[in-house]
Amino acid sequence: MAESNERRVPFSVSDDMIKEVLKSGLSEIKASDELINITLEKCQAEIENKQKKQSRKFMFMTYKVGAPLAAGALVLALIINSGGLLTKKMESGMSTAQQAPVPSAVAVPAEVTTSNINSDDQVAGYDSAAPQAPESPKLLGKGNQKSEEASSGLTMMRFGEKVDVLNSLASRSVNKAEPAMDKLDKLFMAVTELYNLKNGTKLSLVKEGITRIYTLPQSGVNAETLQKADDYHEILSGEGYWALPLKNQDGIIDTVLTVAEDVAPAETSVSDSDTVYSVEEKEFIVSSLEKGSIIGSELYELFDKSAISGLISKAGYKYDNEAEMIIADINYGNDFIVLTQAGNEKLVVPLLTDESLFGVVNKKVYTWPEFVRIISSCLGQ
Amino acid sequence: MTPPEINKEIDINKEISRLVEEYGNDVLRIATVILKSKELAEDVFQETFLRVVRSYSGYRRESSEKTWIISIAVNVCRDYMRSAWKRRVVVTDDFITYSSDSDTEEIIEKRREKQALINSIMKLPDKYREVILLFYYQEMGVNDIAKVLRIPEGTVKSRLFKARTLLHDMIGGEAHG
Repeated sequence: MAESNERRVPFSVSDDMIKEVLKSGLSEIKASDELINITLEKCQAEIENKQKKQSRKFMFMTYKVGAPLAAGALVLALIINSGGLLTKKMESGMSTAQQAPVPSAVAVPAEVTTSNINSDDQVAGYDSAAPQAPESPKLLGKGNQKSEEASSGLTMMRFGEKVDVLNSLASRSVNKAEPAMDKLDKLFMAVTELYNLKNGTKLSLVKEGITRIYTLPQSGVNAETLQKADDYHEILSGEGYWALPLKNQDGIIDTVLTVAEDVAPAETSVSDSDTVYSVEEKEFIVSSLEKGSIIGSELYELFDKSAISGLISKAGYKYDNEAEMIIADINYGNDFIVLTQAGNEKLVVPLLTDESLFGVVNKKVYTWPEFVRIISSCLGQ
Repeated sequence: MTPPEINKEIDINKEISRLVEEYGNDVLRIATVILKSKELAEDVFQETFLRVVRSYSGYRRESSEKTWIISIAVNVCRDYMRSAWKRRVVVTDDFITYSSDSDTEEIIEKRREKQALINSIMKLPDKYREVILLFYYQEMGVNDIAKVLRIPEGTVKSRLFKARTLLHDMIGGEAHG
């Protein structure tokens, strides 16, 4: 029989008591054999799937680098076989080899041979393919991944946690229903005040950093949807939320709040981590991003459009400051992309707290097709 | 002779089985407390070990195995909490203790206190419930909790303090940290 807990007689709460209560209260919760078996089956399927995928990737890589490698090797063999000419014409021989049509991964043999061939990354990426071409993995050491991606457009997924679908935070409101910026400014000052009151903090709003974050559809965006989208507008939901950077007394961004007007309270049951603030008869769902301090310090570009346009100009694009600039949440408020345009070229700049998830380089400027190709290859395929 | 790559495949399978056996209950318990739903916790259980498979080769052993897996489980829970779908799920706070006829008044009283405490823990906001769970149940240090939750150690300490204070307020007695 369940006991009633309505009665509230005060008693002391000690560390030991909390520990004991949790230990005894949770000891009954155990994974059933069925749950364990289902999980192990899924894991087994995942392992097999991963190995098949790596095999396919490796075969493609072998084809891609195989021909130029053979050409490079032929040139080297000719130089070595030229006997006395080698010592006399060492410098000219080397320059001939460097001019051979080899990909960047092959053109830096010193780095190739000293790369972490036996590292876990290496094993994970090419295990199943090793018997087919045992020498080839040496070309693909960890240290070469970035240059390889830049030169050939192929992405070697670095193994961290994997993402199957891009998704955004759930708290959002329709973009076109948002109040004007001057009005928002005032509302967000009030939200900041309330946040400080609730949390006992003394943070202040960085007004110039207030940023509208666009969201993806609630069902998320998978590789197929990405590939079908001709334009980045097609992956956006038409909704979004505001990101408010709050700085501490040292002027450092300490917290990033996400704010969405609670337009449909009847349908939205707010989770414990969200708080509803009522300001001027409007209700706002407010929560702080878990990685707020990291986002504030390492992804400050999120709140500084001129820094983003600087990245784009630095990448060689002529950027028009009047161009549309959309910031989209692709991983529950942890990782973002900037979507913009320079001339006729649609561009994407990833702003990521975890670079390992998507295969793209943080803060690097990609064209939309290039970005889609790389991300799609990393999304649950 | 068995080719090395086949050996590795067997090893990964064995490793995953070992990890499920060793940490499975912890993952399920953590997810149940964080999400307050046994059904969602079972989903989290599966997703956590799938993510373990996916990230296994990237695990650098910079943190303990336990910290690594708990960290993945907490992240999966957070993803569930953030998803729109979860918001429509009815969650339960029920962690009910049972009494028998032979229990003395003192035992019944103790049980009531424990029940009141666990109910209060379950009513804590997510971020405080997480730290309480990791600190008291998982017996993790502040350093490891900071790694799992990806927050500064100072924040862990302040959340622990705040969590104890909230528990004290809810129960109406004293908190001894």
